[in-house]
Amino acid sequence: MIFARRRHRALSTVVTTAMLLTAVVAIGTGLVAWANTNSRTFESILVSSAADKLNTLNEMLIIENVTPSSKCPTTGLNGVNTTVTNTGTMGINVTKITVSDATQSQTFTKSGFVPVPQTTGINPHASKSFCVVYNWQTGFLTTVQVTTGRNTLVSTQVMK
Amino acid sequence: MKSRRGLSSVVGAVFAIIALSTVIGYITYSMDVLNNYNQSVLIRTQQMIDIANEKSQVTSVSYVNNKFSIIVNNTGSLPINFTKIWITNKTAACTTYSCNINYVPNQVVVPGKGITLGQNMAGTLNTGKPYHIKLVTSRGNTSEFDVNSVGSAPVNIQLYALPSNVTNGYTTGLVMIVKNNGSGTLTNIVPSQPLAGAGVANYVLSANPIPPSYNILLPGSTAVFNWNATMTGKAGDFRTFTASLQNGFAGNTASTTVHVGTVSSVASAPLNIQLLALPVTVPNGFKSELVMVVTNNMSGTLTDIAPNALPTTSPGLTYTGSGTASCVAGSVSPAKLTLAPGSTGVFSWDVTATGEGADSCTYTITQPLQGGYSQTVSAKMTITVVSLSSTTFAQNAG
Repeated sequence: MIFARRRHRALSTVVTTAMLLTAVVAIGTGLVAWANTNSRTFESILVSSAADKLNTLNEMLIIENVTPSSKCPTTGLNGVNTTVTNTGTMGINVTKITVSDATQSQTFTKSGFVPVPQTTGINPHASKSFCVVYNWQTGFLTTVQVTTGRNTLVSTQVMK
Repeated sequence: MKSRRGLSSVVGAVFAIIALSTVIGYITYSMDVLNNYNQSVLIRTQQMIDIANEKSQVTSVSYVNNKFSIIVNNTGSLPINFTKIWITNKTAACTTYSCNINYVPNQVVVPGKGITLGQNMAGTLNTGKPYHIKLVTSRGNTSEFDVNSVGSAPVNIQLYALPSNVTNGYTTGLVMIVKNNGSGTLTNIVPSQPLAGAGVANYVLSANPIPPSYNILLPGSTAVFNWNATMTGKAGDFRTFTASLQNGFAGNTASTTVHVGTVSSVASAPLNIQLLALPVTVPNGFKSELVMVVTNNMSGTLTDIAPNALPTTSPGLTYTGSGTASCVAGSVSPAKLTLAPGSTGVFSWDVTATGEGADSCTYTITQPLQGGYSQTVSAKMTITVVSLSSTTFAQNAG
C-alpha cells in the first residue's frame, strides 16, 4: 500500500510541476514578448518623433527679400518674388507660400511657383527665389508666409 | 523536490532578466535621445545668441562712380560675413527684376573694423532715384536703410533769413534746417538751390550751400545748410525764398521772406540800453564783466553800432569806500554790431577790480553808443575781500 501510494504521489507531483512550469513559461514568454514588442514600437515612435523634432529645431531660414514683380517669368503676370535663405545647417524644403493683405489671401504650393522649380529644396547657406502670381496692392500691408516641409513657418510684412 | 523548486526560480529569474534588460535598454535609449535634444537646444540657443551679438552700423553712404559706397562698421563681438546686398529702386512704377539688384559682396569684417560695400556691383545706378538698401549677413541679420529717399515721405524743413530785414546792399543768411522726423535713416541729403518767388527785391545768392550735402541723417537728427543772399532794392522791397531737397517729397518745402528795410540812426531816438555788472560783487583782484545790452526798438536796421569807450575818471567812473579802489576795463567785444529791428546785441568788457572790502566802483555813461542818443546808463560793482579761515594750534608751555 505504502509502495503504491508513494508511486502515485511522486508521479502526480511531477506532472503538476511540469504543468505549472509549462504554464508559467508559456505565460511568461508571452508577456515578455508582448512587452518587448510594445517597447520596440514605442522606441521606433520615439526615434521618429525625436528625429523629426530635432530636425525642426535645427531648421533655420529667413525671408531675405520680397519684391513685387511686374511679371513672373513665363506668365507675364504681376506677381511677388520671394527670396528665401537657409541660414541653418540642414537642408530645407519650401512647400507653401502664402501671400495676403487686407483684400485677398492666396496660398501657393510647388505647382503654383513660377516657373515650376525642379526642386524646392534649399541647401544650407544657400538662397532660392520663388515667384508667385499675385495682384499686388499698392499701399496695403502685405504678409508673406513661407512654410517648409517640417512645418517651420516664417513670415514677413512689406508694403509698397 | 529541492531540484524542482530551484528550476522555477531559474525560470523566474530568466524572465526577470529579460524584462529588466528591455526596460533598461529603453530607458537608456530615451536618455540618449533626451541628451541629443539637449545638445540641439544648446546649439540652437548659441546660434540665437550669435545672431543677437552680431551688430553692425552703417556710418556713411555716398555715390562713387555711380555705385554705392557703403561704409559699415562691425560694432559687435563676432565677425560678420555680408552675404547679399539688395538694392531696390523705390520709384513707384519700378517693379521689374532690374529694379531689384542683388549681388554677393562676399566680404567678412572683424569686430572693431569697417568695410566698404557696393563698389563691386555690376552696372551703375541712377543717382537721381531713391533706393532702398538691404544688407544681409550669413546669420540672417539684415540692415536696411534708404538712400536719398527724402521723396518717400515729407521731412521737417524750416527756412530762416537771419536777419530777415536788411538794408540795401547788405547780406543776409538763408538757413535751411532739415530734421529727420522719421524712424529710418536718411542718406545723401542734398538741398536744392532756394527758389526766389514773390517780391521785387534783387538778390545775389551764393552758388552752393554750406555744407553741400549730408551723407547720413539718423532719426531725430538735424542737418543745417547755409546760403548768403545779398539784397538790393529800396525800402519796402522784399523777396520770398523757398527751399526744398533734391528728389524730395512733392510739396515738402519751406519759405521765408527777406525785406529790404530802412536804416535807422542811433542818434534819432533813445534805444533800450541796459548796463550790467556780472557779477555785482567781485573779490579783490578778480574780474567782473561789464555788459551793455542794446535792443533795437526802431523800425529800421541799426548798422555798425559801436559803444563809446568806458570812462576812466569821475564823473563817468566813481569810487566809494577806502579810496584805494580801482576798476580797470579791457577792450570791448565785439567792436561793432548790426541790429535788425527788434533784435538785441551785447557788448562786454572785462573789468579788474581791486580795493578793500565794501569799496565800489560805479560806471555812469551818458552817451552809451558812438554818435548815439544821449541817455544815461549805470552799473556798480562792489569789491569784497576774501579771508581764508585760520587754525590756531595749542602749544605746550615749557
